[in-house]
Amino acid sequence: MDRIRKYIRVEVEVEIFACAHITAMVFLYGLLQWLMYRGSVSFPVLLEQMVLGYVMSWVQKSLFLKEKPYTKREYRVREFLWCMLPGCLAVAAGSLGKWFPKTEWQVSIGFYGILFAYFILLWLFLKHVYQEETEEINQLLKQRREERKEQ
Amino acid sequence: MKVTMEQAGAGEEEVVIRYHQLTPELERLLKFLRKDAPIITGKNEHGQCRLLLKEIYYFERVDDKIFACTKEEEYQVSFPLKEAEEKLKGYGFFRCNKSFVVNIDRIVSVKSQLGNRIDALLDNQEHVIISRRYVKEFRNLLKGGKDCG
Repeated sequence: MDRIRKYIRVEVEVEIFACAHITAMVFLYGLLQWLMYRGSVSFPVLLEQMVLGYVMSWVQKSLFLKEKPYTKREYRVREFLWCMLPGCLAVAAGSLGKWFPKTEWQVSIGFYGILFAYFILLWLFLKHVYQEETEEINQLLKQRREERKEQ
Repeated sequence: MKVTMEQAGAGEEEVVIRYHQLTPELERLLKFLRKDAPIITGKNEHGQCRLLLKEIYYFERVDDKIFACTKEEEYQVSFPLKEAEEKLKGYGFFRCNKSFVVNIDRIVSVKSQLGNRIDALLDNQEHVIISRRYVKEFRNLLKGGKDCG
């Protein structure tokens, strides 16, 4: 039962991130198509992007799945992969799924470039949120230690 | 805290505590004097011994065996992790992930990390992961909430 509960918690977390990734990708792809005066986006492309968003999110989660402390180096490598792997997956999926015609390579570079930037910005945002939480908890720990000393 | 001892002549031995406020530290002392404090007995290759709660850094489950870890030694204990969690809730211990019950007083600092986890550094330079699931309880303990120990 505990395993199922844990899996459900992880799945929820993965799906929240997947929603963000899918929304970003679909919006950006749709925007670029609109700017290129193409009215509609084909359903197979949308479906591929939805599946890809979910896969990206699982890949990111699997980097930190174990409940074990990582060394600084291990953590940095995982952070790097967390930012870079999803972008690489997008390039691979886009090439296989032929999201952009060969003649519009500039548009595809813009799309993948913005996706890489999105993951880096997401990482920076999370880092900022975690930094605030770290400071708050460390402050509480400090207060507790001081209260103990006074007693 | 000032400690004064005096040898009594006859009659029952007595401990008098004068206090301004009943702090968690005093409550723990009272529990100990009333013999309500949990006794942790562990064994290792040197034999069996009684462990002081403040010496224990964490309880860890490894292959269905539970170990109490002090600064330098590890002792196998006979109760499950769930029991350690419940028994020691009021003594500053809390469940931080599925395999650990950690002594909050041994945590020096924490760092929130990607993957929804918190890395806690203990004063013996070991690292323990606090799962996001237990962070709320951890915060409550730090804020001196229920069962703050």
